[in-house]
Amino acid sequence: MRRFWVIAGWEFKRYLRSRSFLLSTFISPIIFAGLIFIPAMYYENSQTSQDQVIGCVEFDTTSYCQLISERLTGNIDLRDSNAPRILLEPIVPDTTAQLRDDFRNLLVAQHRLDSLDEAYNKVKERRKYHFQRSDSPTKTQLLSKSYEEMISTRELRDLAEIEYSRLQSKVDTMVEKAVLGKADSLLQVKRISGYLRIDPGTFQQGVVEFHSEQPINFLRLQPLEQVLQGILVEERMRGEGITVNKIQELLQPIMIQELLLEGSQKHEFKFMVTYLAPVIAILFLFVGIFTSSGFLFRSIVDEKSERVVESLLSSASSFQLVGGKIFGLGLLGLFQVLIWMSMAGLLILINLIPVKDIILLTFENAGLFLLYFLLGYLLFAAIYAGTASVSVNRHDAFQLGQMVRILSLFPLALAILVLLSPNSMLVRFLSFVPFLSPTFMLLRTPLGQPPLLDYYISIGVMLVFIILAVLFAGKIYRAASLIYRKRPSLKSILEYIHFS
Amino acid sequence: MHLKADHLIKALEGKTVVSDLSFEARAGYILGILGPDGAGKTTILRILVDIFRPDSGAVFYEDQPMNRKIRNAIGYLPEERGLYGEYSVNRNLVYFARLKNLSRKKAQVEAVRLMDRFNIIEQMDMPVALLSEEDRQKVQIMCAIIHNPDLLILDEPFAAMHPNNQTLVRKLVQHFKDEGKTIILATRALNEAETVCDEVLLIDQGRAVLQDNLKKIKEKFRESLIYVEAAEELQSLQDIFGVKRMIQDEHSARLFIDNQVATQKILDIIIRSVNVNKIEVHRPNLNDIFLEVLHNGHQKGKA
Repeated sequence: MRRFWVIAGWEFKRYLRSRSFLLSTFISPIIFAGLIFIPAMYYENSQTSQDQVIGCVEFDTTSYCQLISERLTGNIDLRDSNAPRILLEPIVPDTTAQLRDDFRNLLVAQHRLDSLDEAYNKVKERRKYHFQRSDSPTKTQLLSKSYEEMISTRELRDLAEIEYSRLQSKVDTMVEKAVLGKADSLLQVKRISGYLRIDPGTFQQGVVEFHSEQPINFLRLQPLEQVLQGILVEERMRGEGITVNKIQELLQPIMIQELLLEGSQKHEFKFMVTYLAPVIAILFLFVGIFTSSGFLFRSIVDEKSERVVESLLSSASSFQLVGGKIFGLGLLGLFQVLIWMSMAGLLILINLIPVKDIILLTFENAGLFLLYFLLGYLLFAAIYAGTASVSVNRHDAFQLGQMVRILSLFPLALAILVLLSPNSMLVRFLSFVPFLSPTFMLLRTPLGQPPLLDYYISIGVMLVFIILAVLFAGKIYRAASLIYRKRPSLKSILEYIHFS
Repeated sequence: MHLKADHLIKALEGKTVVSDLSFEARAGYILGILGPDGAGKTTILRILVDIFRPDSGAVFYEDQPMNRKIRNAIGYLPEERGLYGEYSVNRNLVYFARLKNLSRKKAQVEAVRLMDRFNIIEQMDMPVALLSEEDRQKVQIMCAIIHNPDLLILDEPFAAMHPNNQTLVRKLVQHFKDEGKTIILATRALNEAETVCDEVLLIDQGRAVLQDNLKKIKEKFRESLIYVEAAEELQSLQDIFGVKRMIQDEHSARLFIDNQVATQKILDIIIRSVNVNKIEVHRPNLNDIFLEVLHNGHQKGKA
């Protein structure tokens, strides 16, 4: 037993001072902190500096742009006040000399049309007057004269109306062209991210054109879409004769606040902390497991490559050697995890981690983390020990190690299943697969609160596999660690194991 | 420590490497396990230090099977030697001493004592990887003996050794012998072994072909030997009067001579009979004996 402790102590001290241990212990938290804070900072930044300016172009309607703008501003108060804003900018055309002339002509034509309209109406009124005075001797004459005057005035008015329509159409075309041209140029110089085009058909058909140079994150446009939807519904309701007050009452916005039941207490569900915290915990679990089991792999490969292993085997049994290594490096891994926990404790003390929001951060879960860390480490350590033993040199070991590393990526790749449905049958079943158990169970704990039975089964299955894997690894180590020149075949390993 | 190997059999990858081998090693004697490459020497030593378990048969140390106490009393210098290159001489020595059950304090004391004795004390804190090859070999030898073993097992102790270290090993082996310890060394260098060993176990293909006290073996094979090299067929030399046996290769032959017949006379006949490139007369060394034993074995096999 003394040799076991000597070997464990040697391995512990050997890697405790290694650069890779120090890096993985103190750099990993910085990387993970970066994983949390960089998106958060980006999010924060995007709220202030990335307010979106969107243009609004309106044809043949009035005040919709204004209305949308007011609604957008009003909704910010209802939502998170720090959310990125959409600023709506109505776009008016720049007045050119040609447009000014055409406007003037249009006004003149309108004035003329109004005058002729008025004159026509006056003639009509006069005729009505003459007609009603039936006793006048000049009645017939007056009616005949006024008739000619009315026909002549109407003809002039019709001609003026045609001219006005022509000019109106010309101006409309020019204005549309000028407005759209200006909107496009604002888009090109990035003054606006895009612009809305609103015309009378917009609310009838329920389609609003959004012009932009590049696709825009649809999530960013969601508030705008909501406002337009609101206005459209209002318009339709108004069309149905519902009063404005009733409309406002009916359209009162709602917000969903999710509460999660945990034991007898309920906690508010926050996506970022609920999902991100366990994912970060899993990343720490992985770094912990693979730092220590990686050291074990390196230790065995180094001793084999440096030809130390035969001297060691003459002094200690293969089980003492492999067991001592696994134990010593397991202690190192545990030490690393405790350092991380202490760091987390420190951050909680100085209120840098919102412990109340992260339901994962409890003493029970810390214990669970340690337990699954140890089980995961022991399993992968045994796999790594066996793999390292059969390698011929460092290059060969690297290739074999890659295969184990690929295997180790499965839990991370499949973690999305837990995030989507933490208590589905598939996830429950996969939780009992030994090399998936630590990740799945630790992810399920805050997300799905699995039944106690699931913990017992996953731990039980893992323990059985670990015992088998450690025994097998010890035998492989004994059999294959002295084969230096060629990678032993499976047959020869099995033969060695059988006789050893 | 008295060691007894009893009917050892070991197969590796379907091939019998050690075949029904029995031998003894006594305290105060040096046993040489000798044979060519692939004869099974390393496998035998690995069985003796309990790295391999025999498929059948057993090894007894002072009439006991391997146990913790015995393991601590064995010093082993393997053929494939290595150390923790990134660690200092002192740290390597202390670790190996601790693995042999020495307390931390005792391990440190013994490490310093050995480093002083082997004149390497000034490099005690230097990483092993930075040492010269000669010094590195010294540290390897020191790791094997730091716990003052009762049974010292050396695998190819002269192979790839610096000449100074070869002398060191010879002295060390003699010192252990003088202290009444048991020494077993395996080597393919038969001539080296001849100068060191008291008892010899000659093996070929895992089988013992000759096993005795070296003096007795020499006594047994005491007739003179003429070694001849020529570019032509040497078969006719076997018929020369006074030649008892001949072992022939393609262009060389070993002629064992009847001591009653004058050697000079035989030499004259040989020189007259064939166009000799090289000819020498000497007492048979272990190499010659090994070849003769193998030859006889093959002849018997054919018969």
